[in-house]
Amino acid sequence: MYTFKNRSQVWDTVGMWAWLFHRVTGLALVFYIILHIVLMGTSLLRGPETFNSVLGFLMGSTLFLILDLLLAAAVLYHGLNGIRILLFDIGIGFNRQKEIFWVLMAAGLVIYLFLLWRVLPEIF
Amino acid sequence: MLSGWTWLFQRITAFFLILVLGVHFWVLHYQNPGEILVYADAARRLQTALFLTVDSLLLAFGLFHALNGLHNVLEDFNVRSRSITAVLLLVGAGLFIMGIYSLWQFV
Amino acid sequence: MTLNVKVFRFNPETDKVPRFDTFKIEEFPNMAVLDVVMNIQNYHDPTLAYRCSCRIGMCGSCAMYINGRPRLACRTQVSSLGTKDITIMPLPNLPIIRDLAVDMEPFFEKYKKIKPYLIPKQDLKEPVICKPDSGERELIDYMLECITCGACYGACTMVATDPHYLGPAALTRAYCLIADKRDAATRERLVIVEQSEGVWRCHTQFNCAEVCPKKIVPTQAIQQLKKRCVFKRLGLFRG
Ligand code: HEM
Ligand code: HEM
Ligand code: SF4
Ligand code: FES
Repeated sequence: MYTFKNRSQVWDTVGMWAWLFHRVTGLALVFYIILHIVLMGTSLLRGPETFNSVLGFLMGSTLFLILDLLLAAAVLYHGLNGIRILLFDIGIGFNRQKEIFWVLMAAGLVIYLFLLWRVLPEIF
Repeated sequence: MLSGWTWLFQRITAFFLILVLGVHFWVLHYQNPGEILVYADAARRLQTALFLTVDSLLLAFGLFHALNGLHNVLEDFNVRSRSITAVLLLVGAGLFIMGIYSLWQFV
Repeated sequence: MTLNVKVFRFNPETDKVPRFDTFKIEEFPNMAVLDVVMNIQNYHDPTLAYRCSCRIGMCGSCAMYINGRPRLACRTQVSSLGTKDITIMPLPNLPIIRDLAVDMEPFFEKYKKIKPYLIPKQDLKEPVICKPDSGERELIDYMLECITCGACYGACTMVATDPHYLGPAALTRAYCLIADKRDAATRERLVIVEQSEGVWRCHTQFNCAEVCPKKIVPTQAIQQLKKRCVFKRLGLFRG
């Protein structure tokens, strides 16, 4: 006897992708926050020289500014979809979940364009 | 056995993270994206009650939310083990102590 | 019009790996996917195994994974798929008996765990009055339409990753009983659904709601249960 299950999932729904991106961005942020706390904590404790050289190195580099935009995108997506989830948690929006998603994403796009407008001049 | 509580705290921390992380992001980077942060500014900020509170909350809530989120994902994959929970708790406690110590040295 | 139908084939007793067979089937007006499957079995390959009974969306035995989603084969019009290429696979997340027929045992084992029957309160002197238009009642009413087809169970990623997760259908049933004022086993059921394998595995993905042939939103039932579990923890739960 060979047992077998169909492991196919449903990929053509908004909720599937909303959930998957929420998870991916959440896990990326876990990685970031641990790194960030270690780095900021030790730099603050080591005093002015270390702190200034670490932040000067990071914030002075173009790569950092670009990675920063990725970080902002992750936080923005996770936070906005987080609002959607919190709405379900207080019992709102079950029959409007897709519309809520797109409204939040539109808001996110506006905020993101605003951030780009602030940061891009620093990169170029 | 703590499932209900951790679920509730995941929501409470999520709610505050929107506000606190928003402030953190804005003040430290996007308000003035060209500026390179220096120690003196950080020290001056952390001497004010507002920023000490914002940073401490960010540390505590961010860590709980992140590590509990990770724990949730593991449970979703049917990974349920006391030792993993213990490791996450230790990592969280360690980072929290180090972080809070670094923030509060300016008081 | 000719339909290009790809059908999943697997016999656990002889095959190590599954394969796909393809068939050219003539479409007729108002053809349902179940008609396609029956046509294949009648005229092309009598060994094809699948399950069905009522053919009108009542018995819940014909759920299959059709063009990327679990659907009731008898209630899915070929024309509604918007393509002539049809891929039919067995319902995901359940062990395959043969071809398109899955073993529903794990699904019903979990269903049984939440005690899916009314346990009436014994000490009631008066009959309980549940107004049909009370908000709670309206929620339960449409959820009682569940035909235990397992489509939601096959669509849920959390069921796929955690074999112990109770799943949308069992939790929806639990909610219907917990919210029922005549029921005496409310707390008992809450203790079962508040386990790690219960409501907390739901991440409001809504795949269950998308595929339910009865338009039930199990997500909403599960969120209602989470609320009650938290209230119970806070000592605020009555009933
Ligand atoms: C900006 C504010 C934030 C909001 C509103 C928010 C909201 C949420 C919510 C509601 C959940 C629960 C998801 C569920 O149970 O299905 C969640 C999960 C999670 N969050 Fe956040 N979050 C925020 C920030 C963060 C940050 C800063 C991190 C990491 C440092 C993070 C990491 C995670 C992780 C790892 C999960 C678990 C992922 C999953 O269950 O799929 N979140 N978040
Ligand atoms: C580009 C974005 C960011 C910059 C430039 C930045 C910068 C900083 C700086 C300079 C500090 C030191 C304290 C201070 O000066 O107030 C700090 C602390 C902190 N940040 Fe960020 N941060 C960023 C994003 C984030 C994100 C996304 C998170 C959460 C996931 C986060 C969480 C924290 C925490 C928890 C602390 C406290 C660390 C400690 O205890 O020492 N930060 N950040
Ligand atoms: S809730 Fe809907 S999809 Fe799930 S078993 Fe019941 S009828 Fe089928
Ligand atoms: S055959 Fe009964 S539901 Fe499809």
